[in-house]
Amino acid sequence: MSALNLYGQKQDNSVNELYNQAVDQIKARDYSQAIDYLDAALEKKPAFQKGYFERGKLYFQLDSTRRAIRDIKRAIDLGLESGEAYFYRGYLDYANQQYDSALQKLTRAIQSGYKSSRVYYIRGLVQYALADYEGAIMNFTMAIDGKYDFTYAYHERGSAKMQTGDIQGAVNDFKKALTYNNKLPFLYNNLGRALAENARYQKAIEQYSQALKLDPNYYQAYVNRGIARISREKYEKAEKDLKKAVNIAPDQARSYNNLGLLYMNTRAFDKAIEQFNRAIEKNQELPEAYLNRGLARENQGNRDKACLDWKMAKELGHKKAADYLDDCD
Amino acid sequence: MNHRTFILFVSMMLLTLVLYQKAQGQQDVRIKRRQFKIDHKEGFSSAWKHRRKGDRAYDKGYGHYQVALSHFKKAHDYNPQNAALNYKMGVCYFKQNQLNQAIKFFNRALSQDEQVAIDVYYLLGRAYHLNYAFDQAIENYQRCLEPDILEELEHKRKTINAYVRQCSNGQKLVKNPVRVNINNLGPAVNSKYPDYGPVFVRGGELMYFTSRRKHEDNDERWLGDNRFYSDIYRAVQVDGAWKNTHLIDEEIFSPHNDAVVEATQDPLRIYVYRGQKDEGDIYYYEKDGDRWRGPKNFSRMINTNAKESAMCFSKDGNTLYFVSTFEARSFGKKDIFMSRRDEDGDWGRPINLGGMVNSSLNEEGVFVNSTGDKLYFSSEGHNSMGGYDLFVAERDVDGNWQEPKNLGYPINTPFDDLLFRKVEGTANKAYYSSVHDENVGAKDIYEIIFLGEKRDLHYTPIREPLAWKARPQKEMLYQVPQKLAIDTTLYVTGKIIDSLAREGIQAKIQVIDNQKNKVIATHLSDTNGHYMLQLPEQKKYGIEITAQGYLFYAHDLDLNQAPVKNDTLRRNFSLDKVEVGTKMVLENIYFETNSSKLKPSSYPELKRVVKLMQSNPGMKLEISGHTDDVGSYLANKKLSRARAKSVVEYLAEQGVDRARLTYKGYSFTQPIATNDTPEGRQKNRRVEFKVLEK
Repeated sequence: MSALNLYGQKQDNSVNELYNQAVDQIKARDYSQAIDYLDAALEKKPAFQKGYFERGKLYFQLDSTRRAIRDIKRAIDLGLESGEAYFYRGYLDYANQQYDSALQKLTRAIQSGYKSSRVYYIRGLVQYALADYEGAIMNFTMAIDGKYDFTYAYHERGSAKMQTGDIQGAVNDFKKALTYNNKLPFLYNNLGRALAENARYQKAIEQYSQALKLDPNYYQAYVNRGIARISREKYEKAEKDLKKAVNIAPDQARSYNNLGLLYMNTRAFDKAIEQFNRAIEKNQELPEAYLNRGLARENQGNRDKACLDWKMAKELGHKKAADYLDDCD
Repeated sequence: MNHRTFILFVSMMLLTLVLYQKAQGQQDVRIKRRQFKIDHKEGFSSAWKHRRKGDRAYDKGYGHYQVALSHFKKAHDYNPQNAALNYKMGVCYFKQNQLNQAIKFFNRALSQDEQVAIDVYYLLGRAYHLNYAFDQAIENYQRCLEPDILEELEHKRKTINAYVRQCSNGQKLVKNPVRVNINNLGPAVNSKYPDYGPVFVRGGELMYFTSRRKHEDNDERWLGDNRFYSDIYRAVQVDGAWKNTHLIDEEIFSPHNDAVVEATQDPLRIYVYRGQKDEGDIYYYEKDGDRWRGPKNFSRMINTNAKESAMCFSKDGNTLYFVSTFEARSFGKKDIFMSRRDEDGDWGRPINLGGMVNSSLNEEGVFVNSTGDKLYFSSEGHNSMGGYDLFVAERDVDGNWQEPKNLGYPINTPFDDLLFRKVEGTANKAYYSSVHDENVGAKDIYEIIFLGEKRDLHYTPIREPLAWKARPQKEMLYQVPQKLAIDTTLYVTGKIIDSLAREGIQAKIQVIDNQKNKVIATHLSDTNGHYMLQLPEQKKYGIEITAQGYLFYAHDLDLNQAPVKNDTLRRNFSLDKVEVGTKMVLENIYFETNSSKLKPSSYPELKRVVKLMQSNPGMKLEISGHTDDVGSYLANKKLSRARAKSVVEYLAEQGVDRARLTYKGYSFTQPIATNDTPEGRQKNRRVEFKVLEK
């Protein structure tokens, strides 16, 4: 499809046409078909940077992370200078828990002018992972500035605020997130957690109940409602919630741990220990279960065994365990 | 008459009724018939009988209050307003440790008659005190210290003052509770009677304790307090639960008040307080095979003519702590003493532990820890909150006992808290005897579990801290790419030729973007007329070709309609030479409807004519107007002439010498196409020029 003329050769349109057909397929959300077109384009032009990049993006959408990394990296190696490409590299590093590298790439994406809300959002996630909660809050705020109805960014900012102890700020952010999307059970769940943190247990219970209306199998909300009900000394209802959580997710150690604590509150130490044993059986690295079993054993007068449990909790990195061990020989 | 019945008989002889009444602690209040009987109400006779039966049981004291109460209740049904009856019911409840009811009935009696009994405030104070209502207790004790009552209760002044101090201690202790669990050993061990004084062997698996429970060989009450005699029991602990509780072997059983006070594993001995003589001494039994051998007097140095009631050994067995009322050596009535075993194995002269440990009131129950530096004991003195409280004294660096510390609430209660024991190897567990809400009987054995510092429970709520982790939405990150530009370049190539000679000529070709009304390309063909135009996309363009000595060519070139092959359109253009007589139809000349007024859209074509004339200065033109055949000849003649004239005038305005231009209207006389079709008529409606001179 070329024409010789006095001025040279006309550009070969076939690669671009394949690429554009891929774009049409992307718009139609047929990513597989789009990848086929990009494959064809890359076969014709093996150094087609944008072809690799867009194919990498599609692989990422299709959860084929390894291929995504390979293609996006190749695009950059071929000289693609694009903020979006650095953004993706940054995100993929984040997904692979390479947080420092992720932060570097995302910052480079921003420096190269790619200042979309999504890049600030992901950079916020990275900083959250690095426990730089103030930095995370700043990035989530930038993300919100660029996209006022950014539900996730409000939510994550609320979570970061929880980490800094700004519980009321967290409550406000979770509520704001819910104004833009009230169909996500975890938003209610986390709002409930923030309210519970402020000892507003009844309000927290209401939020957990909302989450359960949306998803009756959302065991996390059963666990949390159970805990809130323990705080309100509604032990029978708490027991129902925690048992329901166990029924829904029988492998979740946390549910057993909390059920054990319910029995601690009712001073049924034998039953409590039984539940802590189950928690440990499901997750041998849950330090809280050891700490609590130790407390139950201490309450039964068995300090020696309690000390063994606390020692284990300390080995698993629980900060409180060292204090408890002060009372052990 | 068995031995125990004989003792009972002797005791009865020794105790007078007056003494007995004093022992019970309450005043003898009479319910007067005249005050009890209510006019015009039936049932008096029956109620009065119950009153009488109730009083009879009431006067018998401990063990009979429940019966008394059942009768008083029936009398109360008849007349609830009798102060004396309400007082007695209060006493019955008080004696059975039903304190809330006791408080209710004492207050009711007081509301009916403030002088119902001289000790009603005292008993109400006691009930409040034992019920931890220290403020109200102090209020009522203070009332007892007012002259009108104190006159009658002078003998209790010291006691009441002590109670006030205890209440004050209780207020402080309850405000700062210690972290412990207090567990009743339950009905497997405790009975509805007093149970107390546990001692342990076999690493805590075997417990001996004392109980005043009724059994086949113990159905008589000791007149000292009207309770059943005390005997020794044993229980074993299996998988954390106490089981198999039963009376100790018959070799140890005696008709006296027996209480176990210590036990050792090797040799297996139990030490027994026996209230047989000298107010009570300590004996021991030693296990020999399956049998207990004894009793043997523990030590003539330890046992005196006073009462020795509790003891414990140090871990090495060479130091003894014991309780004695031996007056010559005591600070109070009962004190704690210490004795050391000499090289011959005999116990040395007892030493009073001194005023730091022993208060001016009674001490009881002593226990020393395995390292010998903590001494646990009970005392009515120090800062007790009521009755005996448990205390611990620690040795200072010089080995002297320091000021004892109250073990605190809720270990200690306003009742007697006694006989503390720890089992070696159980770091945070101990046992004692006390009275709590969970009591099975009058006094029970409890387990104390020391919890140390306050510790939080560790809940594991489930927060999904990041929405992205909970529900990642990768779509949110995705940005649909822009399409890439496609090279839409087209090529127009061919030859510019002389229309007659059919030979190539060099000409200037201009391409006009009609939409932008802008020249986008200017090209000069070679001398043979060959040209190639590169056009950016496939659409309609204006093409204008001019060459010296030729009439111009100006037409649209619609590439969408043209036969483009391989992005290329091949097209030759022919130009007419400027010759006299040559005619050229001017394209795109438009007039207002039925008017000779030119539309501005006509100007580009006319400007080309101006240029033609400028490049051919000798050229003279005739501008002619033509119509279709619609309408009359004359009307069309007039219109065609006027339109030709308008063109001439426009050209003159653009600088063409007027003398080089003529105009004519030909009406429909020179058609170039048929007038039978709209297209043909369209063609016939035109303006032409004819070269008159070149």
